[in-house]
Amino acid sequence: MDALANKLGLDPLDLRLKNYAEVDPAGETPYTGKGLRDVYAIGAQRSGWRDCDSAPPQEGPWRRGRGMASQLWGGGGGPPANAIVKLLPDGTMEVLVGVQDIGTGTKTVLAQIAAEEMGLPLAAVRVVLGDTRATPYGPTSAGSQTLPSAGPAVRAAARACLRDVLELAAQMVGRADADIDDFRVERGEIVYGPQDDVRIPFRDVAAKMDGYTLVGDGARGPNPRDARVNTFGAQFAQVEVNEETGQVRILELLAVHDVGRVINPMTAANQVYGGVIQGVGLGRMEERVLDGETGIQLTASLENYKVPTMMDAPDIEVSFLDRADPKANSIGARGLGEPPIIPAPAAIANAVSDAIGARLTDLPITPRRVLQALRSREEGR
Amino acid sequence: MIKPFAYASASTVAEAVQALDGGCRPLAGGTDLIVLMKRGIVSPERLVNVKTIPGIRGVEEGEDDWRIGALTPLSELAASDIPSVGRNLTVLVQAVVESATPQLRHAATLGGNLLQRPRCWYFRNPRIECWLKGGARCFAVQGRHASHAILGGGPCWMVHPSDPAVALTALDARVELVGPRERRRVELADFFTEPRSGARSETVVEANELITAVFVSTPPPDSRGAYVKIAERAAWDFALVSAATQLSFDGDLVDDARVVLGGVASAPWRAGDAEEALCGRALTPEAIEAAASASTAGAEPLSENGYKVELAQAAVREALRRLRQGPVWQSRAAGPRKP
Repeated sequence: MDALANKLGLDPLDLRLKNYAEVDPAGETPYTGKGLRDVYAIGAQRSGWRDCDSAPPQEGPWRRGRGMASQLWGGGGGPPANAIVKLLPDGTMEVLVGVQDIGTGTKTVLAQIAAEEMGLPLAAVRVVLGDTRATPYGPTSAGSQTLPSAGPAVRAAARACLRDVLELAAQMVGRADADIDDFRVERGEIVYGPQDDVRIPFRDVAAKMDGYTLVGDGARGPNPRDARVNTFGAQFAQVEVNEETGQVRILELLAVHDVGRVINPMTAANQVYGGVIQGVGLGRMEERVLDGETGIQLTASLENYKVPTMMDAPDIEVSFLDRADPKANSIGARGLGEPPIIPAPAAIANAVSDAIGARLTDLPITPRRVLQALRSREEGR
Repeated sequence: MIKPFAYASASTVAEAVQALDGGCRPLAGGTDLIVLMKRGIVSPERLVNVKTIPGIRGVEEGEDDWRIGALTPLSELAASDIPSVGRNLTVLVQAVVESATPQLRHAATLGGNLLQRPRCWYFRNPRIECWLKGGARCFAVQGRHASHAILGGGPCWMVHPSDPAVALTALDARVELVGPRERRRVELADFFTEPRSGARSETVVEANELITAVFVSTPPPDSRGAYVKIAERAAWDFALVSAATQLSFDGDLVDDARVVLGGVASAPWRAGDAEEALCGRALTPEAIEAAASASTAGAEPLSENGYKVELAQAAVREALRRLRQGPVWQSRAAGPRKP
């Protein structure tokens, strides 16, 4: 994209804006939600992309450059995914889902969804994951789908459990014939009546349960048939390249992503930090080197399959559009596991090319490849 | 799976040396030996723990030299309590700081660092019987060799991975070896050998010898050193190429020079032509450039590692530039950090 922009004499961001796809070009299908244009605007503003004289004076062998890249990915999730939500006689909740928390905050966000639906504090929720004997079916930790697949199932299960709670509450206040939809929950209380005058604390309902557990189950509904669910994002990198040694320093990386509603800003930002660092690894050092003769992978240990250290991590700034996507699913959220890894290597490569005036087309960008690119630049002159 | 082995602790050098042979290896920090054993690259029948031997750990300042005990952890060298170490052995302290990670530096000893085995990805792969492991040929020379030797390669093209060894070569260090019958001191330049048929080994250390110390003479008063390491990763990585420079000055003129390259050969590589290019001259940009270009004289890169020629020259250039900027021992992350 940037080579094309260069050839056309266009700013790389302008080239992308000129070719902005309002609908999925394959099949002219609309997106459930696409905020990429706003993502670009936030990214350009925060990175100072439009400031012409942003390049500081060059010192010694180090050259400075900047680059950006966009990201489109799945991450919509889908069925099948099931959940069970139990209200226990002590007034606490248990959420059972057959997914894993691989460090992304799944446990926290699923608890949030259940707590919000049930109107109970987060501390009253216990989430059970990962045990396929105890939990109903859940999808694999792949395809950025844990939250958009399991989240709606948890919401549906909590809703089903809540209906039982409300029915019990209706009986308690002698309104067993009333429409359940007229009852609602608010901060640990069940509220009913023309002036919300009937208020039943949750724990009173639990006390009436007489040792019984109320169980609700829920399933992830189908994805929309007439719309595409995608995640979007853009990253903006600033780098320094040493023209003598081919070393690359990533000074800053700004990551702006549109993944629908952000359920928890802290765990979401944390996923982006981790994803960007993995993207830095992909872009700068991780390489699967095979021996041509034997087919053996020569980089099969962490000694030479190099993952980045904290010393290699740039300053990372994270921003979300945080715009709910109700057409995608019942929680309005899309996945975030993979998206931040996707544009990082390209943004870094574009910034390196901007710094040295030579394009690299292979990853990772090692000193060897930078020096090779510089040599072919000299030969081309 | 690690093969079962016997284990004993020695309380004296003599006791350790008595036990050592081809099947019995000394264990100090174990940061390399244990990894090699887990992968089945080496399978000693016995290990003798030498960390229990008193008197061979720590830095001692003598009248005209330093004695660095073989058991001195790299971390202790990096933060030596003896200020003169940081001031005089700048090149060594910088090389140590650039090695491995803080955790590894606490465990790894200087003696073990010199004896660590090559990081060649064919040598380290248990499924490949390469020449250095007794096989018929080097797989790297016809295979993937971006990180391999550009100088003096063959019949094995590995490069020595130690950073401190490069710096110690620039300081004309000597290694003290104790065997059952004798105690000898070997110049570091002779300590490392190019592996040859009949002696597929990287050093002259005999199976029943133990490194007990490294000796470094006090450099002349107007002598300065710098170490530059170029790696793919900012920490926890071996050098693609490194350069250690130690220059003595007579006024403005370079009186004596050591320019040593790491990551280019099976041992730290003295770049004699670069040293010659500096002697008798002021350290001008022109002299630096001449030395940098001369440093890779005789290089015979393979198809994937030609970039190392440029990289070595860049490392030499940078290491000399730092000497030009005057006292350097506080300017980088080297030397003891005092609050």
